[in-house]
Amino acid sequence: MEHTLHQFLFPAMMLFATGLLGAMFKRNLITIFMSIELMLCGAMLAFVAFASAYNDIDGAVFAFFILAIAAAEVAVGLAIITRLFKLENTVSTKNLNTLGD
Amino acid sequence: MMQEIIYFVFCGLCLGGALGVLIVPGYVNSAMSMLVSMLGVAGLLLLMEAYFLAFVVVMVYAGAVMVLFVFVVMFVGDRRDNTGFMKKVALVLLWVGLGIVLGLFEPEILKGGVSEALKSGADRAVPPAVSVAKNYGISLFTTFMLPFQVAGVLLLAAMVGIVAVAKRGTHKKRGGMESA
Repeated sequence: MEHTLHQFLFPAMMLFATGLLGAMFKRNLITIFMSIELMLCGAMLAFVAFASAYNDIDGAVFAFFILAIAAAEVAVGLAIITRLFKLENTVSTKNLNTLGD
Repeated sequence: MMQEIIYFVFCGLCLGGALGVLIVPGYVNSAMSMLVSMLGVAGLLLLMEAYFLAFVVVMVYAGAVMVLFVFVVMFVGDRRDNTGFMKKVALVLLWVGLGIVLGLFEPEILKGGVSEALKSGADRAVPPAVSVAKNYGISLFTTFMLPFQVAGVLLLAAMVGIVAVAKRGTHKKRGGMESA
């Protein structure tokens, strides 16, 4: 196949950058979590791109670990969000300033 | 030619869905555009001939994680995102700027590390390593045995933690943090 490494690294980096923008600038927790998922997905894509380019399986195996981390992280995070919603009745980071000054 | 068209379709799905997470109003719409993005990622993995990983991504991300997100969105209630219009325009401009910068400088950044021979796939006599599912199993159970076990422990810990977080306060009413 005629695909090059750069063709897949660009979407990987853009996914990571989009996730970073979302995690920095969005105001509600659910979208922030989706952005973190996007960042993990971009990292996974980069891992597999390099594994494919070097014809080495190790990088692609790390995609499995990223999937496991992502699943654990999103499950715990969403449990915390539901708990927080029960307590505070909001998921916006504007209103969640109990630990602030 | 067909290859390029398919690549651009998947790339567009991937990046368009990611941008949708940033700017689309409403949580359900955000979740759906993330689903589109994940399907694009699976398509890109297919183009890399990592077939097994593509199906795992569809199952785990587009299946399990998305169901979790939609469940929580339904629990919280689908409300409008109150991000202002100007902020969205600023986000899109920042995104496009980042895209231009990354697209321009990415080959330069990588120039030192990746030799010319590695830019395209390996020789076609044998199937590439990432396309054979057997390789993943062998690697997981030899080289990555310890990380594999640690990942299992992590998932168990996450499960216990979720139960602990979700169960607390269901039988006795707690005061809530707003009194603090």
